[in-house]
Parts: sequence; C-alpha cells; structure tokens
Amino acid sequence: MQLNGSDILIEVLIEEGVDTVFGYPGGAALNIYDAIYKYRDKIKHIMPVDEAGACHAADGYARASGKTGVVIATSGPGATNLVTPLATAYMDSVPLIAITANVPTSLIGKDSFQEVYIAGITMTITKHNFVVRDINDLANTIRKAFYIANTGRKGPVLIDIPKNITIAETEFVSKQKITPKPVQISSEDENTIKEVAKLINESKKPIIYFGGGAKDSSDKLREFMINSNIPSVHTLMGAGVLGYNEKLNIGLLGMHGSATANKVMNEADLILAIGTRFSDRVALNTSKFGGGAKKVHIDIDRSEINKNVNVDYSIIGDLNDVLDRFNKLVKRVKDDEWVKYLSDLISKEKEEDIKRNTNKDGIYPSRVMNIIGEKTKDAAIYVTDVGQHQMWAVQYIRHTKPRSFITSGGLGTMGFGYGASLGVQVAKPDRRVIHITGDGSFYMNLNEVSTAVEYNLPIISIILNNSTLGMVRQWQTIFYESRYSSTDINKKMDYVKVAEGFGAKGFRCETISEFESAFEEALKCKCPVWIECVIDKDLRVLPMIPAGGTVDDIIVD
Amino acid sequence: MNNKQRRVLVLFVDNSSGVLNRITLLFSQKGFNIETITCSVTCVPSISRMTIVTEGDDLHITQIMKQTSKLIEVHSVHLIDHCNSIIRDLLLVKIEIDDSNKRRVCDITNAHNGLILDIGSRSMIVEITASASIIDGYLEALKDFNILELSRTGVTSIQLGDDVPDMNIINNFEF
Ligand SMILES: Cc1ncc(C[n+]2csc(CCOP(=O)(O)OP(=O)(O)O)c2C)c(N)n1
Repeated sequence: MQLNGSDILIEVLIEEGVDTVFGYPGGAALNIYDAIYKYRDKIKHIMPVDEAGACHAADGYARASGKTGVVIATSGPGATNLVTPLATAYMDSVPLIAITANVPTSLIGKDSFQEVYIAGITMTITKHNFVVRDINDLANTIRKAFYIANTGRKGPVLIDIPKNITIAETEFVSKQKITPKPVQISSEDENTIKEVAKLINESKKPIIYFGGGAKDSSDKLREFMINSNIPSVHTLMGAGVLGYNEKLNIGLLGMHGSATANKVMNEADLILAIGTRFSDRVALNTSKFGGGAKKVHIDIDRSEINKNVNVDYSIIGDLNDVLDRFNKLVKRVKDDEWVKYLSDLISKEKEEDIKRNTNKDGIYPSRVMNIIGEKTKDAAIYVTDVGQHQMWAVQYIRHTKPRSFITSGGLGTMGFGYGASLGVQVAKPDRRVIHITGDGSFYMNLNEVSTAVEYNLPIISIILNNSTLGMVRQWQTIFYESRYSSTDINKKMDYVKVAEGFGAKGFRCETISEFESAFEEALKCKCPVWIECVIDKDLRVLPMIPAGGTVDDIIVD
Repeated sequence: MNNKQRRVLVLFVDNSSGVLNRITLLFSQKGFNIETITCSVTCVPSISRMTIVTEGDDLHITQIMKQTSKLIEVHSVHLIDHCNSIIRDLLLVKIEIDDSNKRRVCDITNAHNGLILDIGSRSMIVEITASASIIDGYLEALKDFNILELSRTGVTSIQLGDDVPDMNIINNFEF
C-alpha cells in the first residue's frame, strides 16, 4: 500500500506494539502530528510541558513496563531538549526510541531555521542514531532502531527524519516484529560457569552483588540466592530486584550503603557481581574494592568486564540463562556461620539507625519512608529525583518488586522525577505512583504537575523541603568547612497555593503525625497531590563513604 | 600488564557517512590519542577498512577494542600483530636543494628506497612507502636539509600469509 512517511512511522510503531507515545509538536513535525491525529484511535499521544518532560516520561514508561518508550520531538530546540533525558536513559540502559523531525533535506546543512545536527549532538549519549535521507529506508530504519534498543544491553536510539521524508510516499509492506534473541553463552563461558560453580561450592564467605541489570532476572536470582544460601548486596539500580524482607538481602552497597554491606565486600572470599558495573559510587576505591576476594563478573555487556575493577572470571550472557545454569550446579553453602554473622551485623546496624532517628521532634526522612511503605502496603511504584531524598528513599523504602523503584542512577538527573512519574503512571494506571523529591529537584520540573492534572494522573509527590540543595550542602559541610556557596534556596513559594493553582492538591506538614494524615488523605485523592514536608536542613545522609574512600573512611555520625 | 606501547588496530566498518565521526568521538571521549587513522573501502563495497594507530597499555587497548566493537556500524576489530603483518605509511616530501647538496639528498633517498618524482630548479619531491619507522629514519637523515612541504598518509596494514581477517558481519540486520 502507498503511504507517506508519517503514516509509515505510525504503522511501524504499531507493528512494534507501541500504544502510547510522548511528544511535543512543531513545524518540522507537522506531518507526523497529522498522522498522530489520524491514528488517534490506535496510538495514544501524551503531551507533557516540554520535550524534556516527554522524554523522561517515555523513560519512566519503559522502566516501569519493560516495554520500549517512544518520544517525538520537533527539530532544533525540540530535539536539543532531549539531550539530558536521553543521556539519563543511556546511562541506565533504558530502551527508548526518540523520533526527531528535522528541516527538509534541501535545507539541511544551511543553518536553516530550527536546524540542528541532532545525530551529531547525541552520538555519545545514545546507543545508536540514524538520519533517514530516503523514504524507502524509513520503515526498516525504525524496525532496526527498536531491535537495537532492545538487544543485549538496552539503550536509547534516535531517528532523525527530515520534513520532506515525512510527506514523501512509497510502497509500505507491513512485517512481523523481530524479537531480539537473548545473548548466547559461548562454550568458553560454559566452562567458566562450571569452574565458578565449583568455586562457589568451595567458598566459605561468598557474596552476591547485583545491580539494575538483574531486574528482569529477579526470580532466578532469588532462587539462586536462597538455594545457595549466599547473602547479597545491591546497588541503587538494583533496588527492588529482591524484596527487602528476603532474609539474605543485606541491602544497599556503596557511598551511602550500609556499613555492613561495605564491610562484607572486604571480608568475602568470593564476590559474584551480577548485572552491575562496578561504578565509582560502589567501587569507590577501585584498587581496594573487594579486598582479597576472588571476583566473578556476570553481565550482558562485554565492555564492562575489567573496565573499572579487574576480575578473575567473567561470563557474558543473558542473566536468566546464566543463573539457570548456576541453579543446576551450585550446592547450598552449608556453613551458616557467615550468614549469621552478617545478619547479626546488619540487625545491629539497623537498630542503631532507628535509635538515631527516633526520640527527636520534627519530620525524619526514615519515618516518612516507613509510613509511605506501610500505607501503600509496599506495593506502590516509587520514583525519585536526585539528592539526599533519593538516598533516604533507597535506604528506607521497602522495595518488594522489580521495576518499582525508579531513579536516575547513572547520570543523577535532577528534574527526572516528575516527568518519569508521568510515564510510570501511564504505564501502570492501577498502581499508586509516589514521587519522592527535594525542593531543588521539584523546582526543576514542577511544571509537569499541570500535565498530571490534565491527564488525571494521581501522582503523589512527597517534597522533602529542607530549603537547600541538601546533597550538595552535605558535601560543603563535610569537605568545604561549611562554606555554603549557592546551596540555600530562599524562595517564598507557598506550595499548597501553587498546587491548587495548577489544579492539584497540596498539603504542608511540620510534624510526622501531620504527614501521616496528609498521606492518608492523599491516597484517597484521585488527582495529583503534593505533600510538602518541612525538614531540618542540617540532616545528613548517613552512612557515607567519601569518594575514593573505603569502608575504613565511613562517616556514621 | 602496564606496557604502554604503540598499537595498530584494524576495524571493519560500514561504508557510510558518520562512521568515522562516531569512532573518533569514542576515542576522544575515552581520552585516547589517535596518532594516525586511514580509511578506505574494501573488496566488499559496503564495508570500509579503518586502520588506527594509537598508544596505550593492554588494559586500555582491550577496553577500546570492546567499546568500538559495541558500535553498531563496526563489524569487527583486530589488533595487528607487528611480526605477522605488513605495515606501511606513505610519505610525500618536498625538499629544498641546490647544486651543492642535490647529490646527497639523492643518495639518502636511494638508501631508503625512495622514489624521486620531480626535480625542479630549487626543490625535489620524493615518495617513500615504508614502515613508519623507516620514514621517521628518512626524515631524521634529512634533518640538515630544508623541508618545504611534507605529507604522510598514516599507517595501513595487511596480514601476512593466506589468512584473511574475519570481517564478521555481526550487525547485518535482515529486515
Ligand atoms: C540537573 C542537575 N543539576 C545539578 C545536579 C547536582 N546536584 C546533585 S544533588 C543536588 C541537590 C538536590 O537538591 P534537592 O532536590 O533539594 O534534594 P535534597 O538533596 O535536598 O534532598 C544537586 C544540585 C544534578 N544532580 N542534576
């Protein structure tokens, strides 16, 4: 059938199973938007306040659903607004398709109105990108883009389509979606698996260290952990992959991880790194990371092996397959001493932490997180921005399911939270979405509340308002002798009024009981809600290991 | 492991626009210096062969090979074994001469298997195709002469014997 480029674009999106796209129109995208109008019964289009919001929303949609997020932007400023969100998705390996319209090919390269070379700009922050210069290449380019975004280590792919291509016509034949095959384990790696299984069976103090790469292998990972009786620690991106109440799940590792988790890495005799990349927030000191333990790295991305930390064994493959093999070969670690030692350490640490955070007036983030967990029965999807609140959230929210703790880990993008929450709520209309943010981050994207109001998305934002850029201030306190350069926020905004102005609902709380009742009220609301929690600006995220340090440098008070 | 040395990499890549840019961007992002880069189409018209000379230790080279292999347009990456390959660089140089030194320049050029392409009234153009170190040696031998203009291609290479490197078309999508 003879179709124009814009119709072909939508037809292929439908082939790929896309039913929702996020985007923002403009001159170069007019034909695409005309097709979106025509196909409105088949594909839902959501228009956030700007392209950054749209792209974070597509990212949140992908993270929560496991599907591919799609964002559409016009040329020039529309396209450049995608840069931070694309980098965010790239760093966290989120499958995303960004469609940018461009000026007609006849005007490309002539500094035409609203022309930028977005393919050049995004080269290092996308897994791949394309410029379509021939209408006959369009359909297959989009199919390839979906394939690439979802093969091996996932990531964002950008397709730039000049305006004349969106109107040019060609014969279109629809095709079956090609599902990427899982990465095969090589025969060499099969042998490594056997060797490592033997090593595990012989080890006395093994530990699993997993990250976001394990999110689609949570069942196999749990089976492996429980059957082998090996305790585990996780990264920020690994939050939720295993439930917080799993006996063997010690919790967060790294800069703001527990002292126990960090200590364990030094005492273990075998570290099994699964779907994680030894980032500098975890392997703070690469030369000392893991002490004398033998290290095994299991990942889908070969280029991660020996990138930051040298390992003794590596296995490349789909984690479900690799863990399946381990589940057949690995015996239970009989010695319970190691597990008992760790559980005692972590319970003691938790007790001390509770002591530190109670018997005090005011709102304590740990209590806020606990209440959120209790009232949502730990079943909500939690989305964060970036800063102290993010760390308190990962430390104290009781994650029970994968894809339920959504945060910008790799890039640490303030202003990610609201946009992402939109996408999460669209992907999961039946689940409560709780957006946990700080005042600094919230200012960066609170305009998106208007989108939540427009589309009836009952997102609850918990704003931990310390009137400062808390995380940066914390570093200034510790490393810059309290010289608070440009961190205090002296805005005089009335959150409740502004919320109402947007058509949302607002609460302000100064005590924990006020918070508790506000949160209960919020859960009953069918509209977006903000709850401003006034907290002390001197609160710090603890424990903390300074960048480049080891567990010996840990700050606990 | 920490043996920083000069390495020659051969990459088989898509013969399409933007590929060179993507590869050089990756090198600069990772902080690798490219000493020379050459690129031309192969016997398969859709594939180009890129030869990159860079310096680094084993870890860095392994990392750059893994990172470049990840690029969608890159089909395969090979580290060249110096002992088992022919590695060549081409030099074109214009040297200032007069009656008193012309003979000497010719002798040095002949000793390096250079080809004299042109002799003018005040200058001479020479071509040398050799390994980079021989070309370096030639230029060193000419250091007392005045070089007016110089152009080198950068390294290109091919493996000795009957074996051919696998272009391994891993990213050949069948759509
Ligand atoms: C876009 C962006 N700009 C700057 C930063 C640097 N940064 C990291 S945390 C932080 C402070 C965040 O403040 P807030 O959102 O109020 O959260 P808090 O730490 O107070 O909980 C800043 C400025 C960043 N991560 N992202």
